Amino acid sequence: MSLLRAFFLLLTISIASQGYAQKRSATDSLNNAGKMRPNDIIKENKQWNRASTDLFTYWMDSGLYGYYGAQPKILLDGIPVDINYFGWQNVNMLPLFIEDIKKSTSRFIPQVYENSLASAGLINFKTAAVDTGLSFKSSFYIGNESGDPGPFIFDSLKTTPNIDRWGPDGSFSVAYRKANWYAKGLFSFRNHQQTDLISNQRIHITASVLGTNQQYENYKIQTIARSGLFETGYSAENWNVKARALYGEDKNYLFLQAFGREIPTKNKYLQVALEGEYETGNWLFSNRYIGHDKRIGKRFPLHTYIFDWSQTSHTFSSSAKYRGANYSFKPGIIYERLRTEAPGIRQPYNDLATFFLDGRFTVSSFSDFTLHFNIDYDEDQAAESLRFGLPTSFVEEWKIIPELFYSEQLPLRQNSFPYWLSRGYTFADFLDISIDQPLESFNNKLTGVKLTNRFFISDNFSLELEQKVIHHDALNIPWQVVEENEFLDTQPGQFTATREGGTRFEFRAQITNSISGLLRQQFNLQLQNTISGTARYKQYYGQIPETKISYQLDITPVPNLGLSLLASYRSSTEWLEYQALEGVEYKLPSGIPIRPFSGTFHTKTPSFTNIVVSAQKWFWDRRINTQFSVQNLLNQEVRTHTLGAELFTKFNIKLGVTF
Amino acid sequence: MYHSFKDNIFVMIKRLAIVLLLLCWGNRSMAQSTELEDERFFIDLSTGLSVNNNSFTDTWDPSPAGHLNFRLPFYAGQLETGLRYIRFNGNAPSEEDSDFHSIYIHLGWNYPINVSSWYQISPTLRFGNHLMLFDESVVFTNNSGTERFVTDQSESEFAYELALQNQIKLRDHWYINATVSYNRTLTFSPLPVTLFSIGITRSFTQPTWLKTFIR
Repeated sequence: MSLLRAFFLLLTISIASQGYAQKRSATDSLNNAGKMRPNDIIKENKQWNRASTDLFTYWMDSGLYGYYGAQPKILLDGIPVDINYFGWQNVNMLPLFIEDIKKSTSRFIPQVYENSLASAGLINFKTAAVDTGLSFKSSFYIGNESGDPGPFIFDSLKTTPNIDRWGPDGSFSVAYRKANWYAKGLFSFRNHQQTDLISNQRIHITASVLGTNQQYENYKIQTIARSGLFETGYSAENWNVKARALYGEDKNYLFLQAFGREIPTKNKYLQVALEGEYETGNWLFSNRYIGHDKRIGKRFPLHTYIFDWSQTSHTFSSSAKYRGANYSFKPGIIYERLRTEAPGIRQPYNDLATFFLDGRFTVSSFSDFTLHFNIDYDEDQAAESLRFGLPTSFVEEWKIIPELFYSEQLPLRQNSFPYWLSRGYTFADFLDISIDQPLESFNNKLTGVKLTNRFFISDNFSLELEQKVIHHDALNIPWQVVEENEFLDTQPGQFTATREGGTRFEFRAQITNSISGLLRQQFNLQLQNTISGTARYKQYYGQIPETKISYQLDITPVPNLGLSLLASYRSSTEWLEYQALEGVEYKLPSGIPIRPFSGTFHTKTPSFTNIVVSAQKWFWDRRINTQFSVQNLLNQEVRTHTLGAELFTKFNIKLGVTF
Repeated sequence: MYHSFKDNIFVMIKRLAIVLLLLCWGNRSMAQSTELEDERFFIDLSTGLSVNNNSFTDTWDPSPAGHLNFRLPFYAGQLETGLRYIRFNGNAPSEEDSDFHSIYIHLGWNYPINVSSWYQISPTLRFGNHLMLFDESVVFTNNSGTERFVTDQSESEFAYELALQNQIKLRDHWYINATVSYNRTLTFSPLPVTLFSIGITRSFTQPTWLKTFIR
C-alpha cells in the first residue's frame, strides 16, 4: 500500500509540474541504472512473458505461441541472429556491449520486420553509431546472491549449499570512424554458476549418467558464453553498405523440454552478413545476404551421447519501398536454403521462399489504412499471414489503432525438437524419450484482433490501453509428462506433440510520465487469461502469469548520476508437466554428513513482488561508468519454473570504461 | 530461511536510521565545513581490533585488521573506497583447517560534521564485497564413498558497514583517526564484526585530474 501511495504522490507531483514538460519518445526507456546484462534489456519491455530454470537463460513468449512454441526472432541492428536451439535461446551468447544499446524494439504480432520473417514476435537491439576517430570501450560485471554459508561451510551442522553466482562478464570493444566509413570489433564473455540446490545436483548427476562418470572428473557446473563481432560499413548520400561477421559459443546446460531436464551442450553459432540500401527518388531498395552455421555438440569429451545437430543456411532478401504523398508500399522476397544434418535426417535440404507486401494509405486527414501480407513456402507447404490496421486520430490527444490479423506458421519455422524428430532425428531414442503416437506436424494458425488507445494527456503524460483477443485454430503443443526419479528428479515419460486450440484474452494499461530529463516513471498492468480451449491448451497456458503489475522510476537528480526503482508483481503459474514431482523433496545426496537441507518441488510457482533498486554514476567526463543494483530487496521467493532456481536477494556491480 | 535474511535487512535499516539521525543532528554544523577541506582528499591508514564477541568471533578469532581508505569530496559529503584485511583463525567444529583470509573491498559515502576547528566526526555507510579465502576446501563424502560434495576454497559475499569516523587534527595535513564500525556480511548465518580502529590520516590537495575524474 505504501508503494501505491508513493506512486500517486509522484503522479501528483508530476501533474503539478507540467510546466517543465519535455516530450520523450515511448521507446526511450534505456536509462534504467539496473541495465547490466542482455536479459535486463529484454525485461525493460514488460509485455514479454519470461520463464527460466537457471535465471540466466529464458523462454520468451510474445503472447502468440507460449513458451514451447516458436520463439521470438532476435535481431542485432536489424539483422537476425538465429541462436534458437530447439526453442532454447541464450541471449547471453550475443555479442552485445550493453552500454552501446541505445534502443530495443519489441513487436508482439506476426510480421516481416526489416526483411526478416518474425511470425512469433521479435526484439531488435539497436546499437549507437560509432564515434569519429578511434574509441575503446570495456566493461566488467559481477553479481552475488546473499545467503552463502561463508566459513560455516566447515561446520557440517551449520553449513548450507552455496547459491547462484553471477558472472563475471566482460566486454571489450574497439571502433574507428573516418568520415563515412567505420569499423568495429567486439568480444564478450558471460558466466553463470548453477549452484542452487534445486538444479545443481540434477545437472551433476545428469552429466555423470551421460558419460562423465567413466573417469571421475569434478566438472564445475557452469555456463560459459563467449561471442565476438566484426562489422564495417560505408554510408554515402543515397546508399550504404554494411558487412558483419558474428560468432557465439555457449557451453550450456540446455533445458530440453522433451527430456524434462537439462542436458550439457556446446552450442556454436557463426554468421556472415552483407547488406546494402540504395535510395533514388521515392524508392528505397534494400538487399541482404546472411550465411549462418549453427551446431549443437558435446559439452564434455567424455560424454557418450551424440547430439551432432548442425545447420547451415544461406538467406537472400530484397525489398523495394515506395513513398508517395498519401501512401507507401513495400514488396519484398526472402529466399532461404537450409542444410540440416543430424543422425537420422535423410533429406537435409529445405528451400524456403517468402513473398511479402507492406502498405500504408492515407484514408482521410485523420486516418490511415495499413496492410501486411506474406506467404511463406517450404516446397509443397505454404503459410499465409495477413494484417489490416486503421490507425486514427480524431483529435491530437487521442489515437485509436484497431488491428485484425491472421497468421499461419510452417512447422519448420517452429524449430521445435519434435519437428526434427518427425524429420527422422534419432536423438530421442538415445535419451529414452518414449513416443507412442506419431508427433503431429502442421501449420500453426491463429486469428487475432487488437485495439490500442493512446491518450496524450499532456506533453509529458500519456496513457495506453490495449485489448487483444487471439484465437488459435491450430497450435502445436509439445508436452512431456515427466516421471519422478530419486536421483535425477525427473526422467522422461510420455512425449507428445498434438494439435490444440483455444482463445486467449489480454488487457494492458500503461501510464508514462516524464519531467524534463529529471524523472521518468511508468506504470504497467497486464492481464492475460484463457477464455476457452482444449484441456491441454488450458494446461499449457497455465505457465503464463495471469497478472503482471510493475512500476518503474528513473531519476537523474544531478548530472552524471542516475537512480532507478523497479517494483514488479507477478501472479502464480502452473507447470503441470511436472505433476509427478508435486510435494517431492529435493536435497543433497543421502549419506553426506551435512545438516538436513532441502526444498520441495511444486507445480505451482508462487506469486511474488520483486523490488530492484539501482544507481549509476559516471566519472571523468563520462569515461568511467559504475553501476550498482540490489534485486529482490524483500527476499521473496522469486521463482518462475517448477524446476527453476530461486532468486535470493542479489547484488550486482558493473564497471565500464570508454576512451 | 527467509526470516534470517529479513532480520538482516531490518537490522541494516535500523542501523541506517541511527546514522541518518546522527546526520540530521549534525546538519546544523554543516556550515562549519571549511572550503579548504572541500579541496582535499584523504588517505587513512589504520589498524583495528574486534571489540564485541559473538558466536562468529568466538569461533573464528580475528587478528588485528589492516585498513587502507581513500576519501574525497563528493556531492554533500565524501566518497570513499578502501580495503581491509583480517586473518581469521578458527577453532571451528571441523576436522579441517578452516582458517581464512578476509578481504573487504568497499565503497562508501560519509557526511563530515565539524565539531570544532580540530575535531570532525563522519557517519559513514559502506558496502562492498567480502572475499574469504579458505586455507583448504572441505570434502563431504557419504558413507559408501560414492558421492562427494567438494566445497569451494573461496567465497564472496555482500557486506555492509556502518561506521562513525572521528578525525583529530594534529598539524597541517596530518590527523589521527579513530573509528567504530559495525560490519555485517550477509551469509546465511550473518558474520557480524564490530571493530575499533585507530590510525593516521594524511590530506593532500586534490589535483586537477582527480577533480576532473570525479566529475
